Amino acid sequence: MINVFMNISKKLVYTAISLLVMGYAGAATIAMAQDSASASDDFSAAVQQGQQDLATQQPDAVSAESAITADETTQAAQGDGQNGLTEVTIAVNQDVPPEATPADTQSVESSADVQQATSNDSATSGDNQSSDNTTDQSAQDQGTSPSDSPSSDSGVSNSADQSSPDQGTDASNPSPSDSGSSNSSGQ
Amino acid sequence: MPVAIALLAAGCSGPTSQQSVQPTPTANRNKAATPAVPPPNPSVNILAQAAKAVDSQGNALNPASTFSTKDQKIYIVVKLKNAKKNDVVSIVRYYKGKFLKANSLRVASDKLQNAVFKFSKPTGYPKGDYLVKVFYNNKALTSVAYTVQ
Repeated sequence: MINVFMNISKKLVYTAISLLVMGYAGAATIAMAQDSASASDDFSAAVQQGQQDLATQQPDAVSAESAITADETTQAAQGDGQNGLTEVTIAVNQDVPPEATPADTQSVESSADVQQATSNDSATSGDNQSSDNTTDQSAQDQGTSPSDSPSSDSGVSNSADQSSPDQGTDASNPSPSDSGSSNSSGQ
Repeated sequence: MPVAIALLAAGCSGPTSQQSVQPTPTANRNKAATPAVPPPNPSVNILAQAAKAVDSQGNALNPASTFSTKDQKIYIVVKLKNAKKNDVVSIVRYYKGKFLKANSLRVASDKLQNAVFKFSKPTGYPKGDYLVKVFYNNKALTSVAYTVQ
């Protein structure tokens, strides 16, 4: 009698453990399917995974991405805590690192007026011109929004936007090599 | 009992499978050449913050986790210690768990303390939860989340 009771108790315990484990495995699978943000701890893989998700799986995500990045401008800056900020490039997979020099130092807010500064710099400031050109030549946004075109990036820096090849699904992107030395055409 | 052990093993292997990423044809859309990724920098220390503004040194002013739909600028400040020249700081933004965009910058100086990513949108940003994963030399080190409401 005692043995029978012990056997039943063991089976009940095993069943309970099995159910718990199965629930955990199922929850993990659901989590994997839902969130691309947890896809990878590797940058390149995360970008590829994200682009794949946008291109193949989630129309709603594509529309959301388009809505957010359509007229968005992106910039980056580096600050060493002493000389202020140096405007640098927003780039993905870039070959040429933006080298910061003291002459390039400027604040983010002043650099927000890059459009005005750039047009004036050609005549008044070689340092800023050099800085802007460096930024513009290597600026690359990586996204998948067809509407994230250079013409739509008219916010902070026209010069940067004009030479920023978007990487993504924009099949009409005419010039992946538009990283030439001149960034002021069209202004 | 063997069944329970097998199920336990299967359950434990679930999350780790997220690490595997299969090559996809979409990778060919990366038109730019991939740079040589610097080796890991184990001494680097990173803190990521979201803010509405930064000071002249790139420090986040009043770091926030909540923004308004009227906020036209959002800064992601990556505070660095022991950064090395030519290291690469990258971020990937997600909106409601879905990939938005990725950006990188290459460290210009060993003295770098703040890497600032600025996003401007004249019409403001849609409501929702945003996540920014921060990578250093291609490896995820931290993240910062914020909400637009």
